[in-house]
Amino acid sequence: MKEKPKVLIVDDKIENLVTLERIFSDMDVEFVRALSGNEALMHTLEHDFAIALLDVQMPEMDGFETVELMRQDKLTKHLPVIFVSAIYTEDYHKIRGIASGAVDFITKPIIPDILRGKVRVFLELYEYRLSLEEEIVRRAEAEEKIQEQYDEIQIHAHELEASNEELRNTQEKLIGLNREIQESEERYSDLFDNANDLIQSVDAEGKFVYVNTAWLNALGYDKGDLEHLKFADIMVQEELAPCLDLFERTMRGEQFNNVQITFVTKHGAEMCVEGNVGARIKNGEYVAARGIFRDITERIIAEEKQRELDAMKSEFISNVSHELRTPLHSLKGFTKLLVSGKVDDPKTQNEFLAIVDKESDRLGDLIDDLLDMSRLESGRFKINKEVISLKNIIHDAVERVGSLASEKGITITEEMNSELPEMEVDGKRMGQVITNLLSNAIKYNQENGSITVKSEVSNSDLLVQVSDRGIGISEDDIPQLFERFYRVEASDRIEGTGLGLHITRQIIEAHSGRIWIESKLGEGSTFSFTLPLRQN
Amino acid sequence: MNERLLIVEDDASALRLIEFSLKQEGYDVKTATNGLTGLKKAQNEKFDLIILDLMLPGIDGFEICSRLRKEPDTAQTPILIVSAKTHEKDVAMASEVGADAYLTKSGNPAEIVAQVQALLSQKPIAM
Repeated sequence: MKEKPKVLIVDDKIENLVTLERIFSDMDVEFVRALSGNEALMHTLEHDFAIALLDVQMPEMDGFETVELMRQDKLTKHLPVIFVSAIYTEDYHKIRGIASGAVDFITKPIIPDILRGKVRVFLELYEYRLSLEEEIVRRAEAEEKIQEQYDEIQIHAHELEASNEELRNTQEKLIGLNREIQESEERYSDLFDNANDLIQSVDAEGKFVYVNTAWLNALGYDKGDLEHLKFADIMVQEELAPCLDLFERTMRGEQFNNVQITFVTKHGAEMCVEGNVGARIKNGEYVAARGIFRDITERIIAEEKQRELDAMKSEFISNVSHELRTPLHSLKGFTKLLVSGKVDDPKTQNEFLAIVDKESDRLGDLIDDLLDMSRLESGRFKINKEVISLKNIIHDAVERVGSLASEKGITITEEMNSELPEMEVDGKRMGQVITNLLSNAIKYNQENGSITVKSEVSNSDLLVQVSDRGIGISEDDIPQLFERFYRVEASDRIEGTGLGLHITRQIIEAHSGRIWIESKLGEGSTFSFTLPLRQN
Repeated sequence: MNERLLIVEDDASALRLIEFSLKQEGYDVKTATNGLTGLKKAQNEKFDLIILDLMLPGIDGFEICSRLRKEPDTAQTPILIVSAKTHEKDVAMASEVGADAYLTKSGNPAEIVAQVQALLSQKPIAM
């Protein structure tokens, strides 16, 4: 409820105040009476007035003074004042009145309408002023609110800014991560594609969803071939069933390490591989069987070779012990007999002693062979050359095998070109060579056969040939003849450690020579070797 | 007694050793140095005991033993295998082809003599 505007009426005579009130009785105002200037001033301290009507003539403080005092106070500086006076009516009074700060000077008798009109103006002004003030307050409040909201908005703006900053950072991080993921993918893709191992991924239907370059190269397929290829197509027939089983089990989540499989290439070649298989999970399901394999074909071949070699070595060792036992048996046996005194006849005694001698030699030769073998294996095999007549060496060798030959009724003929130059060779070793070749010839010969030893100059070499008319050697055996441990597995006796020919070849080659054999089953063999003539 | 013995052995020294030892005991000893020759001799002549080496030219000791066992004349003749080979599988093989005993060449001819005597008196030493 709006308050009525207050009007201050000041007169020392109370009847004047009443009169005034009567004039404004129809106006909606509240009058505050003051009977003196001081009282009026006091009222201004308590109330806010729209207008003040003052009498001029008052005891102690007149109207002019009162207004001047009002004008000095902030509160009342702009209070509109209308003087109402009966006495002071001259112009200079009016001037004085206005000069003191009043807005009007009305002389009595008052014309009510005029005063009312003037007061109404100021009342309206006052209302206007009040409403302006309200407006100002409202606006100030509104402004405050706006400021508050603005401040809040600022805060929010800051927060937003901060969030934005975060977002930007996050975005940058994401971009960074994305890049890393991409690079990582590229690296993996590159890794898989360039790996030496074969990598494949097979879906539930058996189709290839991924294979790497190594896979394509190894199996001989193009990328285009993969469309029509099923994984069963790369399996060998014999392994198909177990492989399918493996595949099914993998698709149920099992993993297998170091499985060996045989693949078949596009061109039908077989390829042994070894590797690991496992399933790929996507959304909780096993969607593909992945395998990564190494080509172990070479390894398998090497293992096979090693097994063969080991088998040959075992056989060799078993044969060596057997070979050594034979002469030893005779040595012990005859010695026992002689020692026991069971041999009375001196002729028999001599016979036995000769056997002991022979068997000792045999044992010695065997042991020498083994030592040579050991030296060859460890690279300690040496040749000591001297200038020597090969003719003598051959002749000595022939003599050495003489008794062996005569036991079988075999005759050895020497066909030596007497113009043979002297050679720079290791005499002992060459003797070993000739003896070995002769022994073989005797071994593989029938009873009462014949052996020929030929020697001549051919091109710039010395050629020596040992021929026999024995059982011959089959074509299949010839390539391996000079290999270590190799013995011809004829249904014939398989004697010997298999070292002789191997050592023989090593000796010839150490002399920069060449050795070879020509043979026909049932007809006989000719072992030939050449030695370069010594340079002068 | 003078039982007739056949020794098939291609190593001259080993042969001489066994031959001498057995002849000393009074046996009548015949020899062969070749598998085929030995087999023929065994088939054509009557022997009370045959001694075979395994590593022989022609056919080996196992083969000879197996064939002798198949023929009625020699199916029951005691056969002693004497070899430098000591592998278990050779010993097993010997038993499979029907040999009565297997001895390793140990340099002790007395062993061979003892085994021969045992086989001839139908009381073989365990294999």
